[in-house]
Amino acid sequence: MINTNAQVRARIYQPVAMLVHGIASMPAKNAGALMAVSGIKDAVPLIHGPPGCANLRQMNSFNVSNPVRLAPCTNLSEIDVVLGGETKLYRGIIDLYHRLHPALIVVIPTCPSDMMGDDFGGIVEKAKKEVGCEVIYSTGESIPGRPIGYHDVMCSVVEQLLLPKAPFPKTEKSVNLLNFPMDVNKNQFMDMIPILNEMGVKVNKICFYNTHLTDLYELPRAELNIVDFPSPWIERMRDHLGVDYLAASSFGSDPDSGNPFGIEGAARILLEIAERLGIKESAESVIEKKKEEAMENCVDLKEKLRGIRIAVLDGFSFGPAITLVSEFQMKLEAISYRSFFMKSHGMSDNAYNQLIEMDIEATRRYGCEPEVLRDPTPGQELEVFKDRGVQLVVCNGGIARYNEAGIRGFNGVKFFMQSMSIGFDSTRILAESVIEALNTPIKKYPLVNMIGKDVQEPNLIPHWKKLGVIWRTIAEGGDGGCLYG
Amino acid sequence: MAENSSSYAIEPPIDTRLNGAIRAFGGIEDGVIIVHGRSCCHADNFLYRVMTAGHNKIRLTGGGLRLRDISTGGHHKLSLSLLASYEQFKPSLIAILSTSVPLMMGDDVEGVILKLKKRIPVPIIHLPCPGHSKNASLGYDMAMSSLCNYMGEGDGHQNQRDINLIGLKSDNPFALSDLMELKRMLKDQGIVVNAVFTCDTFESLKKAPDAELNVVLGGEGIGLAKKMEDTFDVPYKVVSYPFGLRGSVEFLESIASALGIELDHRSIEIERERLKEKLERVYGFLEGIYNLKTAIVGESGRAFDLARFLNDELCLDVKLLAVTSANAETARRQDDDYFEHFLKVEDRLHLNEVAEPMNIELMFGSSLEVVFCKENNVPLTKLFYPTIDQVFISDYPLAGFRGVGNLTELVLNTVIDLNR
Repeated sequence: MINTNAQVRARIYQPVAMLVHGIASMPAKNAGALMAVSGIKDAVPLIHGPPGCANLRQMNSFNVSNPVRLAPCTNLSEIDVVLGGETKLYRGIIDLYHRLHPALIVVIPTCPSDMMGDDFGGIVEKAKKEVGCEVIYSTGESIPGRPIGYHDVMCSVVEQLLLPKAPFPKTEKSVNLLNFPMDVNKNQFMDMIPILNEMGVKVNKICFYNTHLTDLYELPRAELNIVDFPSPWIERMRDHLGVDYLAASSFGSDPDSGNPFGIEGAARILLEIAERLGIKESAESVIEKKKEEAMENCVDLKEKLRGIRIAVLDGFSFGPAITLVSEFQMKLEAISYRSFFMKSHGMSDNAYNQLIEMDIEATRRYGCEPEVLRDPTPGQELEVFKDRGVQLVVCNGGIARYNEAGIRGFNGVKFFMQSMSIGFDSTRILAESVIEALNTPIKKYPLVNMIGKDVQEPNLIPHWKKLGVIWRTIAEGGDGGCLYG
Repeated sequence: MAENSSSYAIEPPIDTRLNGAIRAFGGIEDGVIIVHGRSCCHADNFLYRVMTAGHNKIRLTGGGLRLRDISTGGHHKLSLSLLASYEQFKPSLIAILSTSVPLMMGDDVEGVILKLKKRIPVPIIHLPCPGHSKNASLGYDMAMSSLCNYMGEGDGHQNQRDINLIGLKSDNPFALSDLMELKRMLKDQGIVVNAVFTCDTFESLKKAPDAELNVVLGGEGIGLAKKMEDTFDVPYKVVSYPFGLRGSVEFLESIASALGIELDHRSIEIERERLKEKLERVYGFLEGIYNLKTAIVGESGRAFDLARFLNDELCLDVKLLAVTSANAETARRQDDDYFEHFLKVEDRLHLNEVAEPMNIELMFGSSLEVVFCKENNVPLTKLFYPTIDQVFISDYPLAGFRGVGNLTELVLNTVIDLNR
């Protein structure tokens, strides 16, 4: 596993990212839009709004550890708010082109420019004639879905860049591998590439991975888009450009068919790809062979992990825990659910309870009878973990608390975000990482444990919890959630 | 020489009224700020606050307005935010900062405050801070001046040799260490700091009129000083931010002169001797950095005084002084002689265009200068807001007598570091 500087930074910023992304505030449309633009290497954004909408944009709640490089704006003034900002937008596009010479300018609206009713489409068409690059405009937040703003930009890419150039020639038996434009996500499908090649599948484009405008124009050549979750721009590609998609993950569904990770999960996804491309028969033997090799490679690791007692925090079915139990026969002794984080993200009590029921059902499928804790105090949780002889907690941080009680921790969220990819090799990497965690010396006197934590959510200091409670009060008491900007 | 840009697409520096007001109110330890607006306004400012203030000091929340609230009004969510903020933090003061959307909608914020007055028995201040209102320094000043209305709860008489410090921004790098050093230097001269604007409790700030003098650091917050002079007859003195040996001595001399007291020169001499010994240890490097081409990018309140120290005392060659936020002192100082080029930054892209041909060898700035410095292979020392990729928990002042050695150390370590 390669620990790049960016990954180390992402790990260090993770607790803060959690606070600014959902617990005590919600990143909004411009942050999502800038994240999308930052994934296209030769594109620059142009925020059509006052300086207040742009001047803090270098930091992005979606990607706290990695500041955005450019966030220019049209610098709307009080007078523009009254008279309209179309002239500034027109001149801004031309000015930006001459100063930075990008291949693509993406105009991003703001609340003031939306309320003023500026004619984005008309101005962009007019300005395009004056510059030597492509120009598109995002629709702000008219397309629902998270991350907000991201989908608008990507739908604009499909509708304003690709559709006018349709139809595109097709490359038979080819796929696009599409992830989110964040550093930590870029390796998500990499593990699949050699196997796909061996199966006779051509990887048309990996997006976002050093993606340029020319790469975007190549996307419609593929027969199939492989994505982690369905999203509006992927659906538009299917509907308007004839590129169907396969969503590898389906959070909340059957854990066996919805989990693309682990050896079984990877084999299932690869078979599904083969089936969709009409090469199931020829690919089956390749997949089976690769699967056997992967299992062979994991025999020793399995020996080391079998029977080790683990506890899991906040969910079993989605993430590394299910793989540890299903493929390495680790023994699940307890699951501890803390509702604060999920409910901060707008999840209702009903949905949350359903999720837990499904999760427990999944554990039984693998022969586990874990003790289930719902919003336990830190003391109650530790008592159960110790009673059940837990050796390792698969958690989302806060390892020091378990270390002090003599139990080791493995940050499953960090692994999931940074290292969990779909393919056969990632299972081995997961096992090796867990073994590393089991061999890591316990920290006996962690200074971090001096700091008072919240009783319900021991990863939050009381101060952060208060901010979280305020934010949730506004969200829930307002109209049921602040999920969409 | 002053320069400016006239572009249509600009990358604006952090210089809005909203940012200035947040930084002013953010230093009130027992206050709460509500950014009344869409999620963008709240989330961005919250993120910067988390990155620049202590993780345990963030008392900033939002109005949580969504698209649909634009048609129905944001008063309901503002009420929820006010009530929840009061319930959770029991603050002594709540500041509501309204951004573009509620102001364009015409939200009746004052009405909401009146309605909740009985349920929230603490002062609630409302400031309009739309995104197009520039000048963080003005926002800072407006926020500070608004505090004047709640002052006067002291014992009614001015305490001799008590001063208030105005213009200390607690989210600047090393700011809390600077404050400790200034208090130490003043204490050595028998001068007591009464209230610090803003790095204090609201209760302490209310007693500000008890001081004999308001000391305005670098011109930041001068509006409050003028208002207090008119209202409470407390005179004020604008002083340089005390960078360097000369700056520190001048700082003490200005205050002593305004208070009409004699300075104790023995303690200054002791400080001078301590510094001399430190500088002797790095003599060779001090000769080596002579006339190093330097650029400074930061707020007016500290940038001028840093430039003066670097040029006049550390003997660097300050090629460019780029001010990201101007205050009342900027115009008076922009033709000073300790730097070559002055730029009021309206556009960070233009700043890069100006700095690039200067062949800068060392830059002082914030985290926002990282990209330029990486691309141009220029060592960067981060001393200005926003520094979001460093933490500041040690006692390491940059200001005052102790700051001279620390600044010198920072400069040398930045340029000689083999890891860079």
